[in-house]
Amino acid sequence: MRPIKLPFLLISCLLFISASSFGGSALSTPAIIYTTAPRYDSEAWLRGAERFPAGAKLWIHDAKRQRELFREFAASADPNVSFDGTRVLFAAKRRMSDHWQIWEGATDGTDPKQITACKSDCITPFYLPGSQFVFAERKNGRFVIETAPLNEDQAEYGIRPALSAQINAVPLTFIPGNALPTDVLRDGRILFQAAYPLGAGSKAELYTVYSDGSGVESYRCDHGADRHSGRQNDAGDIVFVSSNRLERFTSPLAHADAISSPAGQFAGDVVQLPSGDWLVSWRSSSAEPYRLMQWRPTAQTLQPFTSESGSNLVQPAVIVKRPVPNRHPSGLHEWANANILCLNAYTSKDHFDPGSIASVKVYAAATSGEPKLLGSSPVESDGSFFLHVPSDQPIRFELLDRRGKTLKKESGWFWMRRGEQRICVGCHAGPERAPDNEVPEVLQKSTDPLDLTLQPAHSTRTGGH
Amino acid sequence: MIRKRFQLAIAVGLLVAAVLALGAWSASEQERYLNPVEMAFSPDGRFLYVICENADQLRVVDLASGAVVKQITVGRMPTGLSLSPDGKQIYVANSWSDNISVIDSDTLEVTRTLPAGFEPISAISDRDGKTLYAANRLSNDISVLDLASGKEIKRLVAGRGASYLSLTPDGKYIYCTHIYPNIGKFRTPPESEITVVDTLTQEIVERKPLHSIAGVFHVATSTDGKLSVVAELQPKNLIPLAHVEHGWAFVDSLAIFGEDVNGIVQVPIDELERYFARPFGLAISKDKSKIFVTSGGAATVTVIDTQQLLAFARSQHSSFANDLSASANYVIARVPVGPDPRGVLLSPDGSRLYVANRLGDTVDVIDTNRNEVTRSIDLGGPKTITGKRRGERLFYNAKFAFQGQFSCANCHLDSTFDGLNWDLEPDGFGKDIVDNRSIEDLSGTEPFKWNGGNPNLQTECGPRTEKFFYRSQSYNDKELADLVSYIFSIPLRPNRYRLPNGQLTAAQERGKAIFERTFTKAGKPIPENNQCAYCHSGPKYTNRRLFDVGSGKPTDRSPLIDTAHLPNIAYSAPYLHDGSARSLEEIWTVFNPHDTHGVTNDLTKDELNDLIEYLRTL
Repeated sequence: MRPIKLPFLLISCLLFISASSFGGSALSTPAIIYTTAPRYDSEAWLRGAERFPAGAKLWIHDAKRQRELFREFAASADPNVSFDGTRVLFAAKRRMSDHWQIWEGATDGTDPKQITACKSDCITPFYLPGSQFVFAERKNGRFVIETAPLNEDQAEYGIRPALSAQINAVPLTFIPGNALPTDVLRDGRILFQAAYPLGAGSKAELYTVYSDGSGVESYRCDHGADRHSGRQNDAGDIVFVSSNRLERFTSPLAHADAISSPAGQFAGDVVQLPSGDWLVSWRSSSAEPYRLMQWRPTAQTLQPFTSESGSNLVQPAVIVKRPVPNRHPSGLHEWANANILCLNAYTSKDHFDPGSIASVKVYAAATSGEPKLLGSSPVESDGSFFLHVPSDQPIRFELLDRRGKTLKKESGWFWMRRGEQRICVGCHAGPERAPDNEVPEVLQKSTDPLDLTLQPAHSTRTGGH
Repeated sequence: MIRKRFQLAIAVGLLVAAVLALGAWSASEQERYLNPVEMAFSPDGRFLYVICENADQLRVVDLASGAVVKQITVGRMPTGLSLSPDGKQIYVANSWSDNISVIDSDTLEVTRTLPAGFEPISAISDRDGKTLYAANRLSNDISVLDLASGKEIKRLVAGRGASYLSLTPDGKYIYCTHIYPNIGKFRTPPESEITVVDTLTQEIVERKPLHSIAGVFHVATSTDGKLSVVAELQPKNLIPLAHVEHGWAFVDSLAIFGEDVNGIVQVPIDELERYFARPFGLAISKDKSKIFVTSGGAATVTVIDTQQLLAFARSQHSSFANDLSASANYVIARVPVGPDPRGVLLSPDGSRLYVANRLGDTVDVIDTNRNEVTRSIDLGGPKTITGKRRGERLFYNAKFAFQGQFSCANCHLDSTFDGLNWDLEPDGFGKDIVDNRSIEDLSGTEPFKWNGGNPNLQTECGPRTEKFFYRSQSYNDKELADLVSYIFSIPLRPNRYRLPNGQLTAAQERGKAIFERTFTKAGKPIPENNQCAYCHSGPKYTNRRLFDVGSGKPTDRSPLIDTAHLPNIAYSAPYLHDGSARSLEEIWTVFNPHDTHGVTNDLTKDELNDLIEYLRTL
């Protein structure tokens, strides 16, 4: 670390003093927006249910006072502050009987503009770089993550045309289950929560996907208990809640790292204050509502930030300027389907005897949700296979031995975007595993993938010709 | 009248301003950035010697004041620096002059110049101070120089791109590492080596293999001689570059060997979401407790706990070369430093680590107890940062690739090439394998890409790089302009095959005649587009058009290939669009059976050699 210059220290001190006019224990804290709700079920989304069954309201806590941010809504929640700190995206309803829609307003509570007009609930919006945003829309009873342009020119006061239909929102998730964005990472990926196994389980896990829907994967493959409400902090760590306790993913580790924090229950969506302290939603037990607490990591105790009798205070958002994440330049091709290359199925957290894997079966999810066999492919002796598969729908793999006996079957689902080309190091290798530098045998035999799309040959394009 | 005077004053003012601006511009254009790369302490420890490759200088820094007290002009593009065992001589390897400057450390004057091979990168004395060894990057060998006579007494065949030397503490061996991999079989993992020279017999006694490694830099050995470390790149050039995450393009590594470990162990220094691109400089603390390694592309010094590393390495039953979580077991600090850090030097008491920031023209000083930069020494380079300089920094900065995994300089090592061929994703998997071409003196060689798909460098380095290489938001318009400006400024390295007087040798003349011939030896006319000099015409020896010369492979989407430019073609093997020809000879002896790539099958072996002799002069 470079030595801090004295003038910088002086300026920092002045800023500290001017910002500390916000009283109580919340020293040097910028304005905070948060959601207050009589009832809060942080994992209701897993069942496609309402997280705020008794309604919710956005409040702001600034130097002036603590007050409701937008008064024109019957319900509002899910605040996400723009990168320049001037605007806020949120979900809101004009009447309690309405669906949740995405709105954007100024961080001082003025100028609300409706962004979506979804036929069902649209919730949890986050700003993306390049004037885009990501959110979740309930479709056929499930929350699907989508992106859409956030074009200010079209944003007039009042209702914007139905976004899904007219602005062509791009769906990113294709699983028979719910998915909710929880943050946009600085490297441009979208962090989201869904069931584990993906699209099939009943406990939450954290995943990432690029903003074009490609490259979906589990953030880590240690798959702990019930992980949700993850946010990236200034150090780049993902702080989340697992069974009501705080944990984090750090860049060096392939597994979650428990955070030594005071006893009690945490709601997640932890944000970092400019001072380095964290703002956490916490309660001493499930009989209490969540309060906002300020915590210096490693400290033994939490300091009260604000609370409200009978209400849960959750989803804090700090009104500060912050770095704009990197934009993801989509590399999707103009193909109807997708290609997947596995370098070596033996590279896995599961053990396979050498030479034991003979073939791979690929399934898609039928309308009923049951697996439907698309076909099978031989697996080369080095464990490689190369397939052309349907895109934008749930698929899964099953590895078999020479007698056709199942060696390993995926219990969850994943998807590939239209025009995506993807390579896996192995089958359940984990994100810590870099590939071996070898030409896979399957590419030495043919550079054309085996077509498992069940479509006439003329309707598919596998790339390269 | 007043108005006229006013107008005159304005005109004079504008003229003065223009002259001043021109002066400022000229100064910034004429002043040379320093590019410090290697360092050494003076024998009394009061001064720091710093090699500044772009200034052709050794600069002497008073460590107490941090002031540059002397600038000594040496040869062109000096890159290597060492002292004689008694500290009386300073040896500077001048890579573009192909020689070694010997400087008296008392007078700080160049006292003599010793010969070396093609592009000596480093030079080091044996423990007796009688023999000097120089690693020659372009002749792929090690010069053995008798210091008494100043004569080169022998040349040892090293690996390809011989560059960095290190003497073991017992003085018995010299280790040589290589920036380029050895030329190998097409589409097989790159192989490099650590060439081991016995200083007693002055012979190569071992070639320690570095499997699947290309790009090896500094090598250091612990004081007890039991642990040696090299900084190296693990490229992933054989698998399609479909994405970048999970070390898909490069894993930045060390290789460790010696009594402390069993065999040669590959040690990644990256993490799952953060990469420490282009490990280069190394230092091991005297007590062997810490290893320091610079990462040029990440502007970082990584600090490793040696005992933790050894314990981890010994506990592993299989390779962890590709485990990005391994570094958590031995990396104890990452220290941000200036741009493109290269060589490092530990103070005798181990309390300070000096880091040469090549593109910052500074030396950062790290407190090794606190693992923080506590001081930055300004070496006195130009204060104006030109667009070209900004472009150079962008070229070497890995922050634009997804999670900071690599930069232009990963594949264009030291602004050259990497000796590898790559499988890029947009063409399909396993299709259109491409050789990495040299980027010296590129102006006038457009279009780019082997299929000629990119009409200019802006397209090549802008959207294409962002979408299919970096897979992340990269350069804005201004940055792209700066980057292109830098790339177009990369000069040709001196051509060693031309005679100083510009004339050709007899063999080269014969080769030129073959290159320019229009009739076969049997007197049959050679069609225009099958004459060497037709496609390879103009100042860069390319007519900038696509041709089918029969070198296409079944996995290529089109047989049409962009005509390669030929200046300095001698250095950039392998050849052909996909790198399938390991030498210039193989272009015709293996890949031209039907005379579709020029008529060559009527040539004798000697005539082919003549043709190659001529090509080497281009």
